[in-house]
Order: sequence, then C-alpha cells, then structure tokens
Amino acid sequence: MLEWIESTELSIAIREGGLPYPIIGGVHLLAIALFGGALLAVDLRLLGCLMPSRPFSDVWYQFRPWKRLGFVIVVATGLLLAWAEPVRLYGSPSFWVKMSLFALVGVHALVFRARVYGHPEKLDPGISSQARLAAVLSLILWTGLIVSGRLIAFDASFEPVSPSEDRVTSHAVGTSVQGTSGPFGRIPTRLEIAPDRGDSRGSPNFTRPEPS
Amino acid sequence: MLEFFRWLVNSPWSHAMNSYEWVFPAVQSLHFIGFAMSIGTIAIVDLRLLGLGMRGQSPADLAADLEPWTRAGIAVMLTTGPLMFSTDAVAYHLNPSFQFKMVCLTLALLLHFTLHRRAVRPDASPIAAKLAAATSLVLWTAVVAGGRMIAFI
Amino acid sequence: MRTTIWKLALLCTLVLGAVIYDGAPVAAHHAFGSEFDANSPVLLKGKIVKIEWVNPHTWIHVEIKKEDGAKEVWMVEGGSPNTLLRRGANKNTFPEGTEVVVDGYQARDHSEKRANARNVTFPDGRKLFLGMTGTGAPDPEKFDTDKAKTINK
Repeated sequence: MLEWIESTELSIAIREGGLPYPIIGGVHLLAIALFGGALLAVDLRLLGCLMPSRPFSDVWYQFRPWKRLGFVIVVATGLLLAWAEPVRLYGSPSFWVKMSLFALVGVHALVFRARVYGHPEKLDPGISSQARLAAVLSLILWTGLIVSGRLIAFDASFEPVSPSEDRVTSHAVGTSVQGTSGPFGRIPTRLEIAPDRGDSRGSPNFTRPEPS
Repeated sequence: MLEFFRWLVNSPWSHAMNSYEWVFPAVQSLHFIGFAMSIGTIAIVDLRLLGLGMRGQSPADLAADLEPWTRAGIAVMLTTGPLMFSTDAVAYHLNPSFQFKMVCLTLALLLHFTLHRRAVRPDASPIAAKLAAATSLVLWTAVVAGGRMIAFI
Repeated sequence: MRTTIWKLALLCTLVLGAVIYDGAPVAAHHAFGSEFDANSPVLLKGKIVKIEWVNPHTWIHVEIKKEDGAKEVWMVEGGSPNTLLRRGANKNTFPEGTEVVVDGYQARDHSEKRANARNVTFPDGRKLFLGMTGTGAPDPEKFDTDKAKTINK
C-alpha cells in the first residue's frame, strides 16, 4: 500500500520536485511556531508563570483559535510530507516515536477533558494540581514531538543496490536488497524513478562548480 | 573574515559537533524549540497588534507577559545558531539563503527591540503599531523560510 | 526569571534525553563531519545503475568493477533536487549505464560503500558539482586527488 502512495502524482511531485518539499516543510515549521507559542501561553498560565492575574478561562478561549489554526496547518503539512515519502518514514524509528507521542497527546486530551480543558471556568478560582500536571505533561509531549520530528531526518538506512549481472534496463527499477523494516514487518523498498513528465527545466550544460 | 570562519570550523565545539553523531541533532532540536518559543510568542503579540485575537488584554500587558519567554527563546537561538554555523562556517557564509536569513534576522531583531517595543505601548498610534506588527511577522517568516532553504539552495 | 531558567533547563534535559533515548542516530544530515570522513577522499569510476531523485537528498548508485573483476555498488549523496536543478541538471541527467567519475568523501564507517559526492564528471567531460553548500565538506576546489583512494582501476 505504501508503494501505491509513492506512485501517486502528489507523492512524486513533492518527493522529486524542487521547491514543494522545502516550502511545505517551511510552512510546517511556521505553524509549529504559531501553535507552540499559543500552547506555551496556555500551559504556562496553568503553571502560574504567565498572566497569573487573568482568569484561566480568558486565556484559554483567547489562545484556542490560534492553537487550532496552528494545529490544523501542522497536521495538513505533516500529512503532505508523509504522503511524499511513506516508505522512508515507515522505516524511521523517530517517526514511530513521534506517532506514539501523538497518540499520547490524544490520550492526554481525553484524560484531562473532564477536569481541565472541558470546563476552563472551573479553574478560574484556582488551578488544581491535576491541571498543573496536565500542563507539564503537555509541554513534555509536545517538546518530544518537535524533537522526534527533527530526528526523522537523521534516521537513515542506506543501502546501495546489488551489482548487476548483465543489466539491460529500459527504465530504472532498482530494488534495495534488504527492503525497509518497520514495526509491522519488512516491506520491499521500491523507489522507482518516476516516468519522465517532460520536465524541461535543467539543461545539459551545467553551471560552473561553485567557487570555494 | 574568511580566516575567522576557518578558525570557527576548527574550533573545539565545531569538532565536537562534527565528531559525535548526536551533538548536531541535539543542538538543532534545541534551535527548533527556541524558535517555537521566540517566534511563537512574537507572533502572538503581533497578531494582537493587528487586532486578530487575544483581545482580552492590551498589547502592552500581553507583550510584558510574554517577553521573558521571547527573550529566553532568542537566547537559545543565538547560542544554537552560531554553534551550528561554526561546523561549516566557510561554506555557510557563501550560501545565498543563509545570507538572506542573516539580513532578515538582523532587521527583525532590530525592529523587535526598537520600534516594536514602542508599538505595544498604549500611546502608540494604531497605524504605526499595525505596521510594526506586520513588518515583524513578515521578517520573522522570512527568517524561518531562509533557514529552511539553506539546504535546498 | 528563575522559573524561566528552571524551565529552560528542563527543556534541555528533555531534548537530550529524547536524543539519547532514540538510540544511536545512524546518519546525520547537514553535519558533514558526523557522517562522512573528510580525511578519506575517494574516487569512483563506474557506471550509474540507479538514480534516486528524491528530497531531501539525491543518491546516485555507481557500479564499479574492481581489479579482480568483482563488482561493487557504491551510493553517493548529492544535494537536493532543487539544488541540482539550479545548477542545470535534472533527473534525466543521470541515465543508467552512463560511465562517470565521482569524487567525494567516504562515510565514517569505512566498511560502508557510501560517500558524499563532490563532483561527477560525465563521459563528454562535463563536470557537475553535486555537493551542497553547508554540508561541512572541505572546499570542492581543493579535492586532494593524489591522496584519494581509487576504489578501482
């Protein structure tokens, strides 16, 4: 199934294109900043480090739209990035750490819905220790998400293809000998070069090597 | 200048970052957290100045509350950034995206500690405040974009 | 301010903890010295058997014939597709079967058949700089051909 995803136009466009990948990555980062700032404000308020004089429910409602907007953009861009390279992510331990943390975030939201996030007005007279716990856990989880997300780039399993016998190929189909292993078993890795779509950029005459 | 960059590349911290596999990723992760802190909080104040939310408090209050975190974030950035730069100073300083980022960063920091501070005060003119906020958002976005593109230019 | 510093310390500990917990990072991008050995230049002469034109890095698989007739495939890392597009190359620039000469720096683990490519020279003499600015690799103009270990004849 992952290979089917990789063969879609969208996946190829992001994976092999020049600008889409960094642009999506950049938007992902900016949304992290937006979401992170709003989340930090809310959690710090719960911990009493920020705007302690303002009622919690005020702070909560004010930052919520920005948290939501940031979250939506982060998830949307994240999905696009994942759509581009599902096989690589499948084999990336950091990616699975990140997904586990994401699941924990969901659990966190559910667990603390009743006492903390569902009725913020209840915390206006005073922040309960449970709410404080929720804030600390939230900060830990989201920090972990950012870090594990970054570390995905540093996970790599590189293997050259096996030497040819007498290779007669009309299009490049290289099969990595060992495939990609992940939590659900090993899958053969097939990164085929996408058929030429007549990308007319680039020319046979190269620019000079960059001066040092 | 080139001599200084060469010296940076050969400095002990640069060697540490280039020799132990985990050091560079750790520093870079801190860089990300730092920018979430600094740029995130700056964005919130800017959005308030543009009238786009957090209307419960005045810009001055909001800015005053968030400023320690903005500064902590900036401190993290200005430590982790040069550390990463020193691993390959000679090549980085030639990278056009890096140069663009540095120009925007300088302007953004200058703006933040001068006009922006005046813009959050109650006596600031609304138009000047909005202009400062919009410029700030644009500049910091450019910084992030420039940083992202370093590896792609 | 004390709370801020305490929280920052907590954050740093978390980051380092996360990094260490993640096990030994296998490859460190954007920090050349962590993955590749600047003191191990290599020269590869062979034919292209595969091109991976993918973000964030392109990879070219080159099959070389050793003196005793055995075949080995090495993979060499290039810049991102955008970087190469800007230099006038595209994914059709590397057709299978093309005999090329690649110079670069071997992975730190010398048992791995992997290198960071600097230049690739095509049969008609064209030379394309594959490296990325900001990888920490030594100056491309100063590739030490004498000291380069020729992998094959």
